[in-house]
Amino acid sequence: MLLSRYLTPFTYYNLILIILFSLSIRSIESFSIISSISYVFIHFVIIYLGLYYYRIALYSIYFLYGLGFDILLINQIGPHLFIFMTLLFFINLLKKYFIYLSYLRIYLLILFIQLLIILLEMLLMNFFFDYNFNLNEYIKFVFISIISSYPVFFIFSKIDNL
Amino acid sequence: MFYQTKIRHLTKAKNIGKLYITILFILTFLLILFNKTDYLVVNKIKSLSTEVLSPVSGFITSPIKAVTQAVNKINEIRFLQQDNLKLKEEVKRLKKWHILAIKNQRENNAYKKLLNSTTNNINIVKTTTIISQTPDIYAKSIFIKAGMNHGVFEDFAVINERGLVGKVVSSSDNNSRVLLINDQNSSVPVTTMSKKFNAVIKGTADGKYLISSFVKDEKKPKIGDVLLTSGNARVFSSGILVGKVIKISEDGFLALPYVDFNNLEFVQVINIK
Repeated sequence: MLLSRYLTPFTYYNLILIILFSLSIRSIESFSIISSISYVFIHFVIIYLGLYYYRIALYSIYFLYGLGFDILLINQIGPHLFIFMTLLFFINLLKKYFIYLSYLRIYLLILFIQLLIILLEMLLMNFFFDYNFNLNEYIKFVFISIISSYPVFFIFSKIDNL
Repeated sequence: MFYQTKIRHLTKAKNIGKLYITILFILTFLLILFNKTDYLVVNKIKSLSTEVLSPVSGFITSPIKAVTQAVNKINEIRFLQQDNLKLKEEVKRLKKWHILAIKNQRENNAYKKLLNSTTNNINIVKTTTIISQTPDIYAKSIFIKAGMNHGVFEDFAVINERGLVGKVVSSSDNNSRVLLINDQNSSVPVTTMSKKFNAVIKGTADGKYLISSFVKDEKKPKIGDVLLTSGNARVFSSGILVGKVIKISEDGFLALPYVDFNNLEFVQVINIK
């Protein structure tokens, strides 16, 4: 009873974030695809949280995850941190226009933002830290995003009703 | 009165919130800026994050790791008979090589005595296990269970039984991060057995091969040539196995690394004597 007060959808999303983050930064022997899938999913959660669960504390959460991703994935600070922080800032600015959109349009919008931020992260990585833009890797992310988007949003809608 | 107090509180909270967001954005830009200038604070943040996040993520992913290990074990059992036959043939082949190797080792020792040579300039700092490996999404690196407390510092080379693994790029008290040689930002000066050729190699975008980023005097190696560290940059000791040339193009060459980066378990951190 006491726990149910704290187990809000926002708490569940944060738990999901921690698990996905841990899976994204560690290579799992023979199942390296798990890391890529987690990396894509965590971006979905981040966009979704920004859109539907906006609060000031999210800036700290995005800051920590951006910093964590940058340090553990590339040992540099920049692309993820910058993208996550600006994403939240723009979501907050444009949120009032999003609420009038239909379910399908929101779905397509999240998918578009997802593909755009992954592309920007890879481009920033190329621009600042000399990591060549790996088109195959990006296509893989696009493929995973498109395939998984509908089931992921279905799960999100179930979590929202908890 | 009550509403006025409430509105005042709300405005105050809103202002604090705005201030907090501004501070976070300033911090973001400062971190990005200092990262580019290799500021000491950024290095401290990096080593602290590695120290804290590695065990936490290890704990969280442990159930998934256990499941994947179980799946691997089941697969191993499925192919046990085929593997057994393969291993029997391998043992036969290796026995022949073993006899030849002992003969060559005796010859080598005799020649070394004759020449009074002191070829081994490697100092083994620490033999250690791997905590985790970053996925192949961006940088190719591993975290090892040895840090400054064990005498492991930045720029020390890391090897295993097959050859050169990488270089220590950051070191905290108990952990270190090793940039693998198949990373796009790695840079290893290499030569061939004949020492007639010098080049610098780095990893390809997919991390499967090594590609030349610089070839001295535009001399080309031959396909099948063995690449060894040349010791030119004084980071890697000379004579460590790196890879084998598999393709030559106009711009340079492509090599296959000797180390299997997907199955790293133990590594040795070394430095030059």
